[in-house]
Amino acid sequence: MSKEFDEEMQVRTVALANAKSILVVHKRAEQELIEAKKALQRRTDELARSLALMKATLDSTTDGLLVLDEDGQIANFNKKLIEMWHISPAIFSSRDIGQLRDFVAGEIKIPQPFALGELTNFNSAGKSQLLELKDGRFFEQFSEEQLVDNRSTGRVLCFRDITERKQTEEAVSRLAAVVESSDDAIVSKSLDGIIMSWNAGAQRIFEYTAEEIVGKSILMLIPAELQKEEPEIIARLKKGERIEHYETVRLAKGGRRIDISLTVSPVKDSTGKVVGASKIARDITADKKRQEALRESEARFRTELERLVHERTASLEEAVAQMEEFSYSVSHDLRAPLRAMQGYATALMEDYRGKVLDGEAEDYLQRIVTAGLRMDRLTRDVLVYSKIPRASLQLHAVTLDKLVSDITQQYLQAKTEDAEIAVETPLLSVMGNESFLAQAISNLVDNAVKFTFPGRVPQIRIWTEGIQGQVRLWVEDNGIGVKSEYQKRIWGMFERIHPQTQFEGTGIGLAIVRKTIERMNGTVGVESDGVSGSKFWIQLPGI
Amino acid sequence: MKMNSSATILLVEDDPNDVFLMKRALKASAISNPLKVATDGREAMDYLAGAGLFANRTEFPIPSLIFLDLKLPYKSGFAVLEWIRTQPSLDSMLVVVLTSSSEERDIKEAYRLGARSFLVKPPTQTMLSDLMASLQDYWMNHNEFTTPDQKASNAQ
Repeated sequence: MSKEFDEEMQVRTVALANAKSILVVHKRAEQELIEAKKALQRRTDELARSLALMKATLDSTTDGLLVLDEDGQIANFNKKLIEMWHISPAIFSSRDIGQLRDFVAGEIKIPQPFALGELTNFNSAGKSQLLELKDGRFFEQFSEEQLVDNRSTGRVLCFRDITERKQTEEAVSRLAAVVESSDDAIVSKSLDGIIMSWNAGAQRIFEYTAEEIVGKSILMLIPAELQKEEPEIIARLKKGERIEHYETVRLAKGGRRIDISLTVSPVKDSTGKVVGASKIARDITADKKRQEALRESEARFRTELERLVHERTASLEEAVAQMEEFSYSVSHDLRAPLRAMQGYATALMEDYRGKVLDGEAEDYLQRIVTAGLRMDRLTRDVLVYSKIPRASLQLHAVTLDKLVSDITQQYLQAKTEDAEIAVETPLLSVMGNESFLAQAISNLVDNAVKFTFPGRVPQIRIWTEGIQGQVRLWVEDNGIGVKSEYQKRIWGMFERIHPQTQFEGTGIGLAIVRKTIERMNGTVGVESDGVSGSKFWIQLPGI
Repeated sequence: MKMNSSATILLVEDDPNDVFLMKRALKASAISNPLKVATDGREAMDYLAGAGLFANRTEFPIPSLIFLDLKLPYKSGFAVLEWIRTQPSLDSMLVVVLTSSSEERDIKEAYRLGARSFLVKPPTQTMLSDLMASLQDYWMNHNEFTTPDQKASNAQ
């Protein structure tokens, strides 16, 4: 028994020892498992974090990204892809490359088989392609194969919305076309005066090609004596000023001088700092020639015109001189026979009164005298009237106070009729001609006294008023007045309203007033109710 | 001394009507001075120079006063005035222009050439008589005269 027991004990001890070592191993294994689990957790966390970072990176790019695995299936994508293609969540959640491909094809204006192939074709190297969408946007597509150990692990497709870039490119190329097609030289230069760009117009005008001149100094084009223009232009440009249509001279290749009109504008960077200049030069040689030709023809025209004017003036002067001769003759020759008629009729009356002549004969003779007198007055008045437009007129300041006072004094001394003339001093002064004014005012006073009720003493009032820089002189009377229907007529030549038997006169007095005042840039008028007197007025510029 | 009534007045006037009427007017205003008439400028100058039959100064005395019309045949009134100025013996001659014209330029010229007065012939006889009457008063009663040299002047 004890042998069996010992064997058993040995076995059990061994077993226990084994069990203990197994437990230890087990415990170690457990420990390692825990460690492994922790490590795994750490790794998983790291992986999750890096995955999250990667996802965030993917999502933050401006391009839409699509990652396909080696089987051509959708491995990954970013938010931007969904946004730019407006992909519905249904398609994406299906993760079906076929569905996606169909959808994308549907968005493209001219679906190219090539583009579709790209999505699944792994044999092409990385390349880019332009896609025009139906909605007018433009995408650029890049695709890059992913290789690990020369084996393809998939493909990354990158889509970039280049609509704006394309528009900018189009605008730039349009502008470039404008610059190139311009007849004017359009040149840009740096602030140091180095030529940066040179268009076809510049080549045409200056004969340098772009290769010959870009990078050289703009001073090459400026004649020696005008070199100081360049620093002046630069100085103004630095201030942000523009120079417009500045006419000057520049040199073409070979030194030929060209007349040009320059417009220079500052070129600024995005901060507003002036970094260069854009110059537009227009060849104005032809223009200048035209101008010169125009000037010459103008000068010729002017000389011709002056000659014509001179001729016309000469013949006008002749006509005026003849008129003056005529008036002169009138004053002498027409009045002589009148005096004779006059004189002899009076002589008859005086010498033969009571002898051969009876009352009636005397009456006839008296009428001859009266008629003669009238004729004489008419002649004189016509003469005065005809001289008014021809007289060379000098306008000066006229003190009405003195003039009116002189006229009224003369009047009162000369006339036999009783008349009361009241002048309200001070009278305003006017711009006019003294002798013309004297004539006009005298005539008005004469009329005021003449056209009166029989038996009534004429009462005349004279005053002035200022009207907006002009002066109106009033001559008011208490006479017979002028009815409104006649108020225009009375200013005409030989116009008389009343019969000769009532009031004598030539009918020219007011015509003379009107003509003289009008020649002094004035106006005339009358206010009257037709029964209780009149207010005649003349209006002239004041001082 | 005042002009006495025997002093000769020379009227230079071409229009016979005006001569007639002038004579009437002078008479009407009691100017009884002897009146001589020259009917054109040439005759006036001959008279004053004492040329030809005018050398007879008893019949054709040198006048104390001349009424001179401007518009005259042959030589005008201005020509006469100008000529008078060149004659030293006539330098105190009183010339009164009596004419139809009232033109400013004629008045200016007359005074410039030495006329002492400028009168416009009035249209009526009455006015002419009045004018002569006032002249009579002025010239005869107030104005001082000098006796003209009765010798014939050295005339050209």
